[in-house]
Amino acid sequence: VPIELRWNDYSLSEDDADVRAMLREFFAEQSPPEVVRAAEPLGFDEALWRAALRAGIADLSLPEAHGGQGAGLVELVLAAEEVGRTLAPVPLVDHAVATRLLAGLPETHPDLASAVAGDLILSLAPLSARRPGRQLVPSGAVARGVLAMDGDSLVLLRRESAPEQAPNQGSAPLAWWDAADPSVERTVLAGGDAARALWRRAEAEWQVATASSLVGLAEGASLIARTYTTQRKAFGTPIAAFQAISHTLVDVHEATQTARNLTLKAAWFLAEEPDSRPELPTMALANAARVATDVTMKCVHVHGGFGIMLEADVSLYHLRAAVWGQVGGSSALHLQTIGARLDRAATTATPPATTVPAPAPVRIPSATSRPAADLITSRES
Amino acid sequence: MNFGRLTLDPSQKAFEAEARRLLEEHWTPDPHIIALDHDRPTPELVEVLAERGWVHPRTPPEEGGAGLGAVEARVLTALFDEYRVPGYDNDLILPTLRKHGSAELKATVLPDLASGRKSYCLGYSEPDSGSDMAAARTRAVQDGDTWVINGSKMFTTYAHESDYVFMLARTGPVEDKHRTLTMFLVPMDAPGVEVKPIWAMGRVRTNMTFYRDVRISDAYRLGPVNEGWRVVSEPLAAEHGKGDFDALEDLNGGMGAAFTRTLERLVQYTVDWATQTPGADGRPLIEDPLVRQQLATALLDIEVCWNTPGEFGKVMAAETLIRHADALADLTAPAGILSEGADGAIAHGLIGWARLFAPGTAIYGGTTEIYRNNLARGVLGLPRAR
Repeated sequence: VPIELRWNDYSLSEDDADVRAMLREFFAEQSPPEVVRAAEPLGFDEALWRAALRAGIADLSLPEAHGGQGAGLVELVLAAEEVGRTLAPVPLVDHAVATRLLAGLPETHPDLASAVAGDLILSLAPLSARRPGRQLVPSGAVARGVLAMDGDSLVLLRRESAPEQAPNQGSAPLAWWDAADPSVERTVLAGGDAARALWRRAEAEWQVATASSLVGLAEGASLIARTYTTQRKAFGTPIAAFQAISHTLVDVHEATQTARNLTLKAAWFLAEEPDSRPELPTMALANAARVATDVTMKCVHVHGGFGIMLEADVSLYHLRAAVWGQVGGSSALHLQTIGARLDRAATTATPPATTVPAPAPVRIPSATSRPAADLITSRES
Repeated sequence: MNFGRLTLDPSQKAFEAEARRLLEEHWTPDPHIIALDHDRPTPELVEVLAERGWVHPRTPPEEGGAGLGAVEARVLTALFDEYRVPGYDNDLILPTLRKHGSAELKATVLPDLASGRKSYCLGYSEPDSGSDMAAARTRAVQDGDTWVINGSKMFTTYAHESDYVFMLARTGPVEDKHRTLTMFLVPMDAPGVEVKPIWAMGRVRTNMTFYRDVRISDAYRLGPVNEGWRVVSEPLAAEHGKGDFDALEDLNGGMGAAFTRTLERLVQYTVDWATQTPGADGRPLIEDPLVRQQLATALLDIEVCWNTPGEFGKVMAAETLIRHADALADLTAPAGILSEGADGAIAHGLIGWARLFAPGTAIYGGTTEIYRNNLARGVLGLPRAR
C-alpha cells in the first residue's frame, strides 16, 4: 500500500492574518470588560451588534450574493476566537452558522435578506438532531428565528419576539424554544437525507466556531492570569517565579495553543474535505470545552482570593466557560460521536466467535432511545 | 493552512519504490515493536542508508547527506515508521562539530558521523546530576596536548553501540558551575572507557559509563575551554524540539510524534481486542458504551497530541501516553497485564509493557519539569523559576 502523505501547515494566509488583526483590534476596542458587565444578565449589547454589522464583522462569513462579506468558515472561526477572547456580548457565532445554513437552501428563503443584514437574529438548536422536544438554544433569548431538526425535517421556528432568557451562570442569552409552543410558527425547510446533510454541515460548523470562541475565552483568561502573577508578589518575589504557578501558566498556554490548532485543522477539513475526517469538529469542541473550563479554573486559582471576587475580570471568564462549552452537549455525547472512528479502526479485526444468542442492542445512556450503532451510523457521511 | 493530500510525482514515486525495495531486502521489521527509541538499525541497514546519504537525507551531499527534498525526506520518515526502523541520525551534534570542531576532527571524525557510519551517545547526566546538568563533575585535566578524563556518566543510552560520546566535562572549580565546563568528543574505544548496562522498565537498555584516566588529544575538544555551556546549548535546544517547523513535519516534534505513534498502536491493539472479545452479554466489548467512551477519549487525546506544537509536544505526548497506558491496562483487566506468551495474554503483552515503558518518556531527553521551566522563561517570559 503506497503511503499517503498530507501537508501539515497551520499557518494563516497573509489575508487571514490581516483579518485576524482587524478583528482583534475591533473587539479589544469595542468589548472591554465594562461593556461585558453592562450587558449582563442578558448577554447582549445591541450597540455592539450594530457596530459589528457596520464593520462587516457580524456578516463576515455570510454569502456576498445576499449582502454578506463573502468570507468563509476559517474567517468565521477567527472572528469567533476574538469574540471569546473579549467575551463580546453578541450572537455572532450562532447567528452566522444559522444564516449560513439558511443561505445553503436550494431556494432563497424570504427571511435570508434580513438575517444577513442582522435585523433578524437567527440561531440554531445544536442538540435537536439528538434529543427530541423543546430545545435550549444559544442566543435563543435574542433570536426571533431558530433552525432545528425536528424528526426527519429541518425546520425554521419563528416568533414575533424572542422568548424569555433561561437564567444561567454565564449571562448567556439562552432560551427554551419549543416547536409545540402556539406562539412559534414552524416551517419545514427540507426533509429526509437532504435535511440531514444540511444539518450535519451546520452542526459541524457550529461545533468548530464554538470551539474557537472557547479557545479565545481560554486565551483571554490566561493572559489575565499571566499579567496578574508577574505583578503580584509573595515571599518577596513575583509569584510567577514559583514553579507551582509558572508550570500552571505553561500548561494553560500550551493547552490553549493546542486547542486552537485542532480547531483550525477541523475548520480546514470541514471547508475542504468534510468527508475525510468527519469526527474533527466534535473533537475540536470536546477538547476546547474541557480546556476552557480547566484553564479558567486554574486562572482563577492563581489569583488566590482575588480570583473568586466578582469584580475580578478573570471571574467573567470562569462564569462563561461551562455555559459556552456545554450548551452543545456533554463530553459523553461528544465521545459517542468520536467513537464512530472505532468502528472504522475495528474493520480489520475479526468479530468474536460466540454461540451466545445476541441480546437486545446496546442502549446508550442518553435521552435518545436509539441503539448506539444506529446513532453512529446516522453520523457517518 | 493546508492539510491536503500530497500527490507524489513520478520521480517521488520511484523514490518510494526504491526505498521500499531496500528496506524489504535489508531489514526484517518486527511488527510488535511499538516504540522505536532505545534501539538502532542493524549495521547492515546503516551501511545501506549511509551509502545513499539517507541517515541525514536533507543535508547536502557534500556534507554527507543526500540533499533530498522535503517530500522525499518525509517519504523516508514514513517508511521507516511503517517498517519499524529505529530512529537514527547524528543531527543533534553535527552542527556543533562543524562549528567548533578542530581541523583534525573535521578531517578524520566528521565524515563518518556525517554519513552515519559512525554514531555518538550523549554524556550529560551523571550519578549526582541530571536535570541540573551544569553540575557535572566528570573532570578533564589538560596535560600538554592531551586531556585526561576521569568520572562517570549515567543513562548513556546507546553507549554500547556508539563510536563517540559527546561529553560535558568539568575543566575548573565545580563552584564556578556554568563557567568551568568544556565539551569533548570522546572515542568510546579509548583505553579507560567502560560501559555497564542498566536495564530499565519496559525492556529498555541504557548504560552507565566510566572514564578512568582516559587520554584524548586536544583535537577532540569542541569549542573554547570553559565555554562548554554555550557550546552545548544549541544541541540541547535542538533535542528539546526547538527549531523551524516545515509544513510536512509532525507538529509535535520527533519525540512527541514517536510517543504518539506508540499510543496509536496500543489503541489499535485494544480496539482489536475489544472487537474479538465478548462481554458478559455475548456482544463484543467494542459495543459496550463504557469501553467505547474510554477508547474515544484515547482517540481525542491522540488528536490533541498531533496538534501540540514544538517543545510542549513531547510533554503532552509523554503525559498522554502515561495516562492512557494505565487506562488501557485497566480497561483490558486482567488480561492486559499478562506477559507475552502467557496463557491468556493479549496484544503480545504490549499493553502491560506500555505502562512500564511510559514513565521514562517524561524523564529522558529532559524531564517534563525542565521543559516547563524552559517554556515559562523562553515563551511566556516569566521570571526565572524558584
